[in-house]
Amino acid sequence: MCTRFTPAALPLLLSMAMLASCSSPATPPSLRGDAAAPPPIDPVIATCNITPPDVAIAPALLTSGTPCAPQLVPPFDDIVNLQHGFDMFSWLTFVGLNAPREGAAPLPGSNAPTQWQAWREVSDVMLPGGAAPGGWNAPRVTPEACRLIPGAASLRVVRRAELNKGGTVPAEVTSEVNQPFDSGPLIDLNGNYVRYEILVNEPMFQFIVQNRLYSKQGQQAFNGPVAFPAGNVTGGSTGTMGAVMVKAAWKVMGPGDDPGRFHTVDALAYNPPSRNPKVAESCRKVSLGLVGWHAAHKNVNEPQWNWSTFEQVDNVPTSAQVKAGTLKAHYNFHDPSCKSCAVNQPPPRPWNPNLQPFPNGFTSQVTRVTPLTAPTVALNSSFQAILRGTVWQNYELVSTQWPTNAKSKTDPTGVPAPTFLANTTLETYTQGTVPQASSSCMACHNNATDTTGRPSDFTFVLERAQ
Amino acid sequence: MNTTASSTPLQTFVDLSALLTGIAASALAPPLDPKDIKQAYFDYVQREQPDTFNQLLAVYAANAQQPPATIADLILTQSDPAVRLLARSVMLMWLLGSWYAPGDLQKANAAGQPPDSVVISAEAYTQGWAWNLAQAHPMGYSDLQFGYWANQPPTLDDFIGGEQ
Repeated sequence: MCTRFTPAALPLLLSMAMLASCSSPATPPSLRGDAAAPPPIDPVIATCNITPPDVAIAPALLTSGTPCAPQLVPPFDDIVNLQHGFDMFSWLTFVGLNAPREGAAPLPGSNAPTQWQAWREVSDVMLPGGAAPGGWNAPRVTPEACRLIPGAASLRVVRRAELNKGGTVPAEVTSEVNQPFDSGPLIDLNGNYVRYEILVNEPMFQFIVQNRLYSKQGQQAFNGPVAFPAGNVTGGSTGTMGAVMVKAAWKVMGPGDDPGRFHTVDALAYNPPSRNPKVAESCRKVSLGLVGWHAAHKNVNEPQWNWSTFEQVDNVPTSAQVKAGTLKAHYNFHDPSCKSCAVNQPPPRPWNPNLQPFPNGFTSQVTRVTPLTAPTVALNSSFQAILRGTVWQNYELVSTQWPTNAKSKTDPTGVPAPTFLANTTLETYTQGTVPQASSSCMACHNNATDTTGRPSDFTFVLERAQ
Repeated sequence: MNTTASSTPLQTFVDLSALLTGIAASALAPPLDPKDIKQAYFDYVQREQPDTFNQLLAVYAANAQQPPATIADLILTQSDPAVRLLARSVMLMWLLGSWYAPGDLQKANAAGQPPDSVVISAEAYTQGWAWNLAQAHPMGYSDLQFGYWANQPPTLDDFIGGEQ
């Protein structure tokens, strides 16, 4: 769900990073200090959600767990039917991973734990100096600047400890404010930067750690192609989860925001130091609301991964709604009263997240260029109905990108459907339908490599190794 | 290539295009076809040359059971000049992703000059079959992965063979 660039642009592309994340079917012992054999990278589990896409959408689906792979039904030559199958897979994934544990229903309140938030954030995997990231349950790394906040360091450590014991929500650290390819930050109506984080699930983490792909040195020593484990159902509910990444977009909760309409988290918003633009290191405690959510899941039949993307329903109007004047009173990233605001344009430079609200009153004026399809809207309504009374009813699937010809010998992207896909909070400025310029998950991630220049199996995570 | 009677004008267009280009209909228009360039091309010709386009489709539909060489002869040598020129425009459209108007082809041929053309869309630019026939890719766009230039390209059959 990012743009693709020519090989000449790859050095730039390689400096950017993407996704991470998904559910952990088992909790193997920590690698850290464990002299025993490492845990299986992608253990066999017996809890794959194998709900077919042609069932009625009923509350029982809320506890049906995370799918290991899409479950499709005929006709297999009908792209609309298959799109529905993949969209169903996306919704089941969203419900499963936003539950506090596998097989539970998502909790109704705003600040509730989810499975994916307990995964490993990429900056905790790709450590300075190529250091080993420890085991799956190793605590998150708290930046020095965050530790200076009175009580923050201890608060964070305490919360992590509580989390590890099945306690409350951890404090997150989110450091990223820019979108892929330096296309610009997203500024909400309060003038605050939207923040991003990328997380990987345990099979993906174990693959990286056990193959020492967390360091440049390890990547240079690694033989053969990078091939993350693929989710698969081998019989009944038995199978493997495979690698999953989640990329989340968060807005700072502020005036005009109704916390009851968001999944929220108490977080430490960390700004790493930067020379261009000049940004001083800083950290502050904030409450964040989830506004965008990507999940990429590698599956046996879709080695290009399946790409699901969700948004909070108040984010933006469609371009057509703006033209027709059928606007809601409030959006997260669109001011209905501003008729002269430049639409879908990044803010003026410099981009310094320490200066909030954004100088001169700038806020992003965003519209959705490509509307959701009617079948996806219908599926959203069905899932929102069974999620009524929870914050999760305020989220919608934008679409799912999947390969229509996964085995193509001439197109490693597998001829994705839909051809283009963008989330207005994560690919705000690259929406559209122009090849090479508009956002396409697979077309972009097909260009991903590790630090040696070797294709890295549709993830930019490995390029972050030091 | 399919020379049986086609069920819809769009399918007739795809089958006709397969005959004119020599590229499998299943490659021009795969069963799962998210790019759907066939529809874009069909709509474009329908808008530019509606009457002649219908004549061209009718010639093909009326003779779809004939051997391909017979159909080609009927279209490219025995038909009305406007139909013959439009068939060339359709070939060029599939191969280059651009529209060469029949009238421009005629004028350019008479003048010995390259004809004017219009790139139909950004998507069409990337989908020109000339690139596949050359086992290559258009400038600035490739589906292949980083480092592909150091490897042998896929075979010609891989490029034009249609759905595997």
